[in-house]
Amino acid sequence: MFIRRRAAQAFADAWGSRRRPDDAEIGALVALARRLEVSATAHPDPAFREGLREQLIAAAGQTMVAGPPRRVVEGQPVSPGRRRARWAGAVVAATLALVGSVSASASAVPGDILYPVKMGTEHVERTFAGDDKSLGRLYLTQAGTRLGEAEVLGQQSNTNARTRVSSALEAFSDSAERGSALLLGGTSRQIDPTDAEYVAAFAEDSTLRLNALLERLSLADRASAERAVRTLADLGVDIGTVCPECTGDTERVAESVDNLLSDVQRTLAEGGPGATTEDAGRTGQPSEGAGQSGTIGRDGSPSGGDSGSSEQPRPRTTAPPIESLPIIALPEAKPPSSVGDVLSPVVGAVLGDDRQEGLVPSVLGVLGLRR
Amino acid sequence: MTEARHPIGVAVLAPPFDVSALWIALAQIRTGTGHSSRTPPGSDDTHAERVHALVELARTGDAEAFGQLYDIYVTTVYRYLYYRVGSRQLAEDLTSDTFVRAMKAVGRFTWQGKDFGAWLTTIARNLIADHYKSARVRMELTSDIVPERGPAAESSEDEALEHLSDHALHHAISELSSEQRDCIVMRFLSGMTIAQTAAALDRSEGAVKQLQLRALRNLAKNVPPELRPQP
Repeated sequence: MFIRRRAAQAFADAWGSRRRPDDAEIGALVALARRLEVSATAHPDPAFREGLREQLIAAAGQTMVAGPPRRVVEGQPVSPGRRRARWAGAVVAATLALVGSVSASASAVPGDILYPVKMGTEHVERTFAGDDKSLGRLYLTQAGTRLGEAEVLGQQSNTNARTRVSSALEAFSDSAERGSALLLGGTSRQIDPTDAEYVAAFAEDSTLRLNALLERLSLADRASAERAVRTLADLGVDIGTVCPECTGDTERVAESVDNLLSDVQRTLAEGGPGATTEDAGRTGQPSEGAGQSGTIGRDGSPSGGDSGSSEQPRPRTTAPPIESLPIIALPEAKPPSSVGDVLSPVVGAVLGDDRQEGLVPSVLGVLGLRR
Repeated sequence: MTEARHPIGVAVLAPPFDVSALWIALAQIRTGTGHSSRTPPGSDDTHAERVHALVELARTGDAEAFGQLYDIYVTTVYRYLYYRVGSRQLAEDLTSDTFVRAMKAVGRFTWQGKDFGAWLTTIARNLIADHYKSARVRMELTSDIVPERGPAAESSEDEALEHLSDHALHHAISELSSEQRDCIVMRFLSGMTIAQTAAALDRSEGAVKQLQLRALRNLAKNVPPELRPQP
């Protein structure tokens, strides 16, 4: 198709320019067209020509029907209505320009000229949010936007962009905390399960994105990245705390918690000093790092002390403050029935799986804490 | 001077017409000459302005303006018809029908990106289609539509050979498909531009460029070997 179009254009150019074309076939076709042109010698007979003209002019009075005159668009004074229309046009143009700026600012990242416009637009959106539920969801949406900005900046290699990743991650944490607090934080009111699922979906999505982003982070981003990860883990805890009715199959939840604990213990054992490298989670012997973790037992009761080499490994239940953890706050001990179905995939994705694929292992690796 | 030649046109010079273009056009009018067959109508801005002014006058019922449009386009229309139907008499009849129909409809003519010459050629094309659709002509379709030889006597052997070559060439054109034949006749025998041909065929200019290339390739296969162009 493209070749045909190019050949057609080459012939048209050669015919129009009357220059000898480079292509032999085109040259032959141009010669044929010239031969045709030369052969076109037919002319209407002069007598016929003049006779027909006279007949047409004579018949014009009965044959020709005048059409409507063409509208005049120039040289007329501008009517008030037209003037108003012009003003309206100017206003529309200005509005379109404003809308265009707002639209263009949608892809701005921290440091861009249009970024303040973007932030102002988001502020206006929050102002018009009708209730806490809408505002909370809007905050989470904007948190996702911040994460997107961090992703864009993370792909840029210049130093200025690198320094702006941290600010984007900090803003992500702020928005995520505010949004989840609005959706889940009200202890005085009944939590809507759809809100809990909304937060869970946000956390899961953000976890995956943050996990992918970690490869592009530097040590300078450590503090903001830690805070973002901690925020996501807190979301999982909050969901399980405020929405016990979200819990589905108790056995399955308990199994998920056990798997979660195994992952946590192995991850932290690898990450902490003096960690054993093999089967740390399976034997239930936590490392120093893991010893700081707050965990829960299968039956929901605290299993105190080091379980050593017991056949039924039970995680430690002494739960230090979340702030003392190296990277992430772990769920506090509580009955397994208080953990909803939505908790397991979210926190599991945060803390990692059997293959050490997860946010925490990635953070540890990137930040140099995993050995 | 203009008033003497064209009193009706002067009488309707008030808006809504483009007065300056019209005066320029009327001052440049050369009645009865038409234009060179190698210089297609609409090839320069001045000519286009003149045609535009004449069409606007003709739309109001100005017979003389229509007559001058006739002078400009009669050769193009006749040549197109002649090389399509192959008969001088039929070409003259269809030329008459084309301009009569155009004169009736010129009041409703709207530009809409269409050249006036292309509009006339479209009318002529429709008339050819109507002609060949008639039952009377269907019985005669076996006759060759290769153009008749001109009335001029062949004064030399070279001219005779040239006429024979032309006859073979036009016979090869008649073997093309209808659309390719139209394209070849409009572009290379009537001297219409790509834009005019596109408007007459209701195709895009790019499509006409491809169509003329395909038509020429097929024509090159149809012509006798001695007429086949060599690169």
